[in-house]
This record gives sequence, structure tokens and C-alpha cells, in this order.
Amino acid sequence: MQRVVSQKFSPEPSGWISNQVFVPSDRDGGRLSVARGSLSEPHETALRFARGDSNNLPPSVVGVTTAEAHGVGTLPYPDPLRDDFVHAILSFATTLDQDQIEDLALELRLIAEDHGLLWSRP
Amino acid sequence: MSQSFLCEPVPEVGTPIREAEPSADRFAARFNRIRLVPKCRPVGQSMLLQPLEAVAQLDSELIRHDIENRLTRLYSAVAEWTEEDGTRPSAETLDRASQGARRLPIAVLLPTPRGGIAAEWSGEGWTAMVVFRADGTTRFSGRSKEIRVSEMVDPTSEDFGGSVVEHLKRFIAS
Repeated sequence: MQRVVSQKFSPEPSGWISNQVFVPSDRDGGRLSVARGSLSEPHETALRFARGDSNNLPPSVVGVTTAEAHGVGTLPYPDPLRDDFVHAILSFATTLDQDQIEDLALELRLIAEDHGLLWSRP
Repeated sequence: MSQSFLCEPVPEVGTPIREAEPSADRFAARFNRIRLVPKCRPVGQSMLLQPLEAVAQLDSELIRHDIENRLTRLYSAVAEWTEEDGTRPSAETLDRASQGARRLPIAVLLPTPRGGIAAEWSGEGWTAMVVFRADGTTRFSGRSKEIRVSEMVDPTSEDFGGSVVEHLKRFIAS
């Protein structure tokens, strides 16, 4: 599962990424948008995020495997959209409180760090 | 025998991240990667700084200057925050975080998608953060393969900065 890193969560020039990359907003309802790594190369995911505009590319793309996502207690599942067939969801249980969501974000960030940046803006 | 020290220039430690960065940013970038730079070092000794010594340097002018820069960047990030990014931190949360961040080791400061402000640190194999939440609570949490810490903290308490430093030392040493 590939997660696009927003510029707002990668504010340092070194390519460092924040734990907030894996924190769903209240509006997201515990669902993080990701891309299925089996169907999309990281650079394709970045370009899709930028809607094809190479001037609007995100700083990086990170990822965790489906097994790792399951392992920490999140639920990954495909969620193809009309204009984005590789779209998927990394779902946090609705019963989780903010403490648990923050802790899961740390776990996912650490796993993603192990994999390194799958893609970074040239 | 008295020990002599080299104080200028600041020696390189670890892999330089960006040679062209101003010294304050270089220092901060290294701190966040736990590639620490001593202001002074004994002549002839290792240039690697032990984490405990590094934490003791938090009151330097250089770091104070950097904290103000980082707060300025945080204010910009909040100003540019959009609905798509999540809940915008309130003025109260921003104020609380600004006060709290001045008492913490240099951190990356940024809004969270849930209306809070996070101060984050990370090194190889570990990550930690203090989140000043929208509901007025503040929480420290950190993870490495060996250590898991999660606890509510009080940014107005006398030992707020000290307790966070103690946690970070454990992660640095892990």
C-alpha cells in the first residue's frame, strides 16, 4: 500500500517525513487514502496524486505491505474510484480513540521508514 | 592537567545533510536525525557527541534562534492549512503549542490532521512526538523496536521539557 506524502508533512529539506502522514483527519472518518502497490509504481502514484501535473508532484511516496497494515491493526482494502482504479483504503477502526490512532501512526511510520522512500521528487 | 577545547568551527559529525545550509539549520537537521554536533570538543578526542551531552546544550543561542524560525514556519503552515488537510488548529492550540515548544528539544513542528500541533523527533529506528491536541490535552508518544512510550504530559508543569528529554534519551540510546 503506497501512501503519498503531502508537502505539509514533509517540511524538511532532508526528505524527512512526519508521523502525521499516517493520521487520518476527522473528516476522513478513520480512512486513509492509499494506492495498491501491486497495481501502481510509486512514481505513477505520485503523478496520479499530482493529476498529471509534474509541477505539482508530492515530495515522496512511502509504503507498508498489506500484511504489515493488518499486523498493526489497520484494515487495508481496495476502493477503486472511477478515475483512480488503484485507489485503496487503510482503515482505522471507528472505535479507536485519539491515543490509539496516534500510536498506530507511529507504528506505521516506523514500518514505512524500514522500507525507505519508495519514490521521492527529483 | 587542564583540557583544551576547540570551539570554532563546529566540527562535522556523521554524514552532512546539506553543506550549504546555514549553521542553525544544519544543527537542527542533525539533531532531528540524531547526528549531533558539539559546540566545543576536547582536542584529540572523538568528534562523536554522546547523546547525553547533546541534550545538555539545549539552551544555546543557536538553538533558541532556530526555535523561533521553526515557530515562524509553523505559523505559515497553519495559515496555509486547507480543509483537505484536516481540521485547522485553533489560535488557542497554536498558542499553547508555541509556549510548549520553547521548552522542548528542537523539533519539527507541524499541524496535525486532527486540529492539533505536533512536535516530532526521529532517529534511525525510532520516532517520537508531543501532540498538543485540539481538546487541550497534550501527549507524548514514541516507538522503537524495543521501547513503547505513551503518556499524557502537562506542558505547564516545571519538568515538562525535562521529562520529554528523558524519554528521548532512552530512544537515542536504544
